[in-house]
Amino acid sequence: MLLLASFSVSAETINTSSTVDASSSIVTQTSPAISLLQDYQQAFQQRQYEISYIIVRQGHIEPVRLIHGVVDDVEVAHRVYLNGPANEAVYRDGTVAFFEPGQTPYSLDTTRLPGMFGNLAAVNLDNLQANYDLVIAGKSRVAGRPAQVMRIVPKSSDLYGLYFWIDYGSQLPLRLDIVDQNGELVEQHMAVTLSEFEQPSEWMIELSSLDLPSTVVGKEAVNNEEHKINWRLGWQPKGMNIAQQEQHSLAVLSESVDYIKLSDGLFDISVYANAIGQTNPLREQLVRQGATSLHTVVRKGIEITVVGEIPPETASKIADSVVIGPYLEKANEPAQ
Amino acid sequence: MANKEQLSALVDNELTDATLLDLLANEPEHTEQWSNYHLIGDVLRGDAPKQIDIDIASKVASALEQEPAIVAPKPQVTETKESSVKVVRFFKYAGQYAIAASVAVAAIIGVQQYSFQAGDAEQPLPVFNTVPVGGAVAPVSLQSNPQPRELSEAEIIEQRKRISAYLQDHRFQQRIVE
Repeated sequence: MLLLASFSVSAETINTSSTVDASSSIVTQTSPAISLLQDYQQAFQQRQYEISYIIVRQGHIEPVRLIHGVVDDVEVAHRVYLNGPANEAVYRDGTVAFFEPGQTPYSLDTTRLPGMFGNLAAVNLDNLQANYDLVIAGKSRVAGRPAQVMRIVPKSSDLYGLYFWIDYGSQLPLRLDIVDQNGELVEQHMAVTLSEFEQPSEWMIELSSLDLPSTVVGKEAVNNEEHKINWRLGWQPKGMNIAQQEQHSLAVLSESVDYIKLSDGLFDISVYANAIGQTNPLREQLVRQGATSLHTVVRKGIEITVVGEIPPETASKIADSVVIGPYLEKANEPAQ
Repeated sequence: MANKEQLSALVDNELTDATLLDLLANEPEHTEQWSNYHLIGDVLRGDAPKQIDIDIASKVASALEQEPAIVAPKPQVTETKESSVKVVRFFKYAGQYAIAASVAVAAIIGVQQYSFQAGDAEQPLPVFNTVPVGGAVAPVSLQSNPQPRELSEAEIIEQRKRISAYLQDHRFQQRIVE
């Protein structure tokens, strides 16, 4: 009986929300897909909820729980990997603290929660529309809730696309499939349970006053040193722009690398150039972890590594396109 | 002794004599003889009953038991030296059974292997489909990937370390957003 009652309630909210959507879209002249994404972004950042979801990468399943609340106008969230070594992230008012195995906890100034749901909640919709077609693809049911399905189709064939399921009643995320050009599933984030609350939970209130690790300020974490190696990208996927270009050192290997970050707001690509000389000519590598591809090639004693949420073919294409100039003491201004 | 001849003739349906039948019915010695002759006849014709409770019959039975012992030998048969010929015969048969059985097993294994291979062929691994073990990553093949030599274990570990270092840095860089 309870179930029935709750279903009829949610059915009513669907009706009301859809009529509201329709009227608002007429007024603002935005596409229903865009207004749905706007609703999602708002809901994701403003509601009190708990989502348990699984991340599926090549059959490997990772259960995750995300608790979100707004305590005294401060947005607080906690994301935990439920299996294996504790891997947590706490978001509070523009800062994310990461607690990960094998690393000292650190905080970063960032506007988004880690993970694909957070990426989508923070993405600039104008930029997104420039590179992707947004289409409402129908209705479905996920985690026992009616959901609206939306497709985010890349305009370039070099990138992955998305299927995105949004809860009807709350506009909260229920499922996100990353698919390749052929529609084959590459990575999946799927809610198992979603609960909403009127008030922030005790844990959220506790987190809102908890001491977090000292902050590494966002943009200032970027090392602004120039590239050591004379190199540049010969090709990049359409819509991907250079967001960052500097030199820093890899934490684990303590090797200094030249770095370029490409981004379209939704997906990111990291390109590394590492002068390893002739000492370590390991073979060419191409690996994949869910939607993340990594391709390493060694040319002229320089190890070029491309990592990103892109198809492996695209990673290879970027790596192969890299132009390495004559080895100079001081690098020329790298062309963009 | 003349009676024995007559008895034998009677058993073989060559003589019908009322006095002899009377003799048979009344004298236990003749009754026993009569029964023995019938038994001998039965044995000669191969109609011997399975269980015979008289002395001579038990000897015949034991002799008969040697014969089916080829198929279903009793354990003690292999222990007696006299029966070594039969043991050889038994092993000859057993050997044949063993060969037959092993052929059957080979057939089963062959079928299983075949079906296993067929199952493999049905789902060829997509080129980029690899399962990361415990959050690690696994290499995928791409046609542009020349593999000049096998890597040593140390090199593979080094390679994995480099890969995870890059993946980790990528994740870190992703978190830095303007």
